[in-house]
Amino acid sequence: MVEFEWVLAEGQASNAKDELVRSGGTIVSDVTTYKPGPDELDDYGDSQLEPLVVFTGTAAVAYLISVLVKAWKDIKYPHGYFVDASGEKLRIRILPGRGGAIVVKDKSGIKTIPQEKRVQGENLLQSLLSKLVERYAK
Amino acid sequence: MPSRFQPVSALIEVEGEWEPPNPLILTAPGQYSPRISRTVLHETAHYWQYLSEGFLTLLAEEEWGRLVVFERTGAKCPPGPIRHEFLRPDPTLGISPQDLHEGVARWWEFMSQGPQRLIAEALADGRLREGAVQSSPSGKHTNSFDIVMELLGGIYGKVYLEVAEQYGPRITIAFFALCSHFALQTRHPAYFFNQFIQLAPNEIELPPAGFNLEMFLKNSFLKVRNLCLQIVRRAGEDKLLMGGAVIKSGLLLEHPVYRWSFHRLNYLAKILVDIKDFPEFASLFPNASDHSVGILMLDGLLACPIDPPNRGVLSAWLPPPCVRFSDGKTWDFRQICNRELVPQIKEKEWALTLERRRITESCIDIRERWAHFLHEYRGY
Repeated sequence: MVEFEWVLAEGQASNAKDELVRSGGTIVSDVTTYKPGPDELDDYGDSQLEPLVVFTGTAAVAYLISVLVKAWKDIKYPHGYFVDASGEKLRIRILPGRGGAIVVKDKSGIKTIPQEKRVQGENLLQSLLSKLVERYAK
Repeated sequence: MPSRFQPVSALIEVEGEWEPPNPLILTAPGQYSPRISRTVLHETAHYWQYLSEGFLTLLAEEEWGRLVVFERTGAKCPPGPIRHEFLRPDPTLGISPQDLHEGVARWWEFMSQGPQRLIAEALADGRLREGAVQSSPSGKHTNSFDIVMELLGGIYGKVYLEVAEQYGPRITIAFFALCSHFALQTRHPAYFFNQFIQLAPNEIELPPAGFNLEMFLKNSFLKVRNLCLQIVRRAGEDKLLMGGAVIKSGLLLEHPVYRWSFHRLNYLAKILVDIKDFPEFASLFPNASDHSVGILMLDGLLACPIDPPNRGVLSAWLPPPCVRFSDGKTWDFRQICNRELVPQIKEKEWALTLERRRITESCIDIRERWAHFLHEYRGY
């Protein structure tokens, strides 16, 4: 299991927490408001965007991958994710729009997996995230 | 692609497929395609804010500076002090300049369509259930506008509601827009907003219940401005910072869209003086030049941009430079306002068409250049 912060739209948080717990994960700290930092501002300029919130949970890597892969299939609410594994905490942050791209940042740099490469992308996510288990293990 | 106004390019992006442009989107948004009208109107309010509220103009200038430095030297400058200040909440109210500028745009957007129309639309598309509008979900609000803001206003609606909780709904509805406008003409908008809205009811008489908001805003514009000016002077700043002054004296004079907008601001100020719509302005400033009086009159329009008469003038003379949809198709402002169809100004407007096309193309070009810079700077 890894511990991670999940930044998402307020309306998605309740379902996300329920699904996480159903999958065997846990909620470490409950939802609070999330304010994007200066470098993140360009990702969140949408006038109709719901408030962003963040909560901390633990989950199996396989579950995290399933969450990310689901973004590639969501045609009702197109979005991607930014997986930040460069800091002390693993953070998964929703990217509204962006054509469902998954961006993974770790100490070696940044990799973007576009939606059209989702078939190979699942394997790539598996290899990128499995390296994180030890670092963020709980 | 999310819907947004992008400060560095002055481009409005709208999520969804291109639709034929219609001037009603800006002039009568409640009567034409409410969803798209509300989005375009909200983002257009931002364009007008960036031209009139100096703090926001400084933000656009800072971003433009990052882009220019990158293109000239390859240096990837991080966000500067204005962007940091833009996001920093003031401890008293807990709101940041970003909250303020988004909150007031949401307020204007809702004011322009009215609670009843917003409720009907939300019931029709399933965002609200029958009966949901009878009471405030939090139990904190009683009037219908505040309840609709709570139900449908999202993140930006909360700003107005938080201020209303702190200062009461009557003070907030009377002073929210003007205090936000003048606060965003300082270098510390969140701090000064709190100062302004705290002191405004002591100095300016509140109108009786059921007052006409547009009339109150028009009549109290100069009084609120003078009060805010006194407050910033007491705090050591010498003036309120208008957007035009920032453009005129800084890097944005090299920015094709802001430079063009600056000329339009001056042109419109001259027109306002010529039509003498607000004689009280001139009589209050007998020693001021016509140009200064015109600039002040224009600031009065830009402080209340969604008020119907003001919106009519601004839509005609200062419409947004370019609106781009998710499919890449655009409106330019010639299409939005169709001013070419008005016979008496046809000749002059046609002469501007080529220039306008260039401005529209500049918006899109700067958007692409900014995306390239961001990709190089952030890695995605």
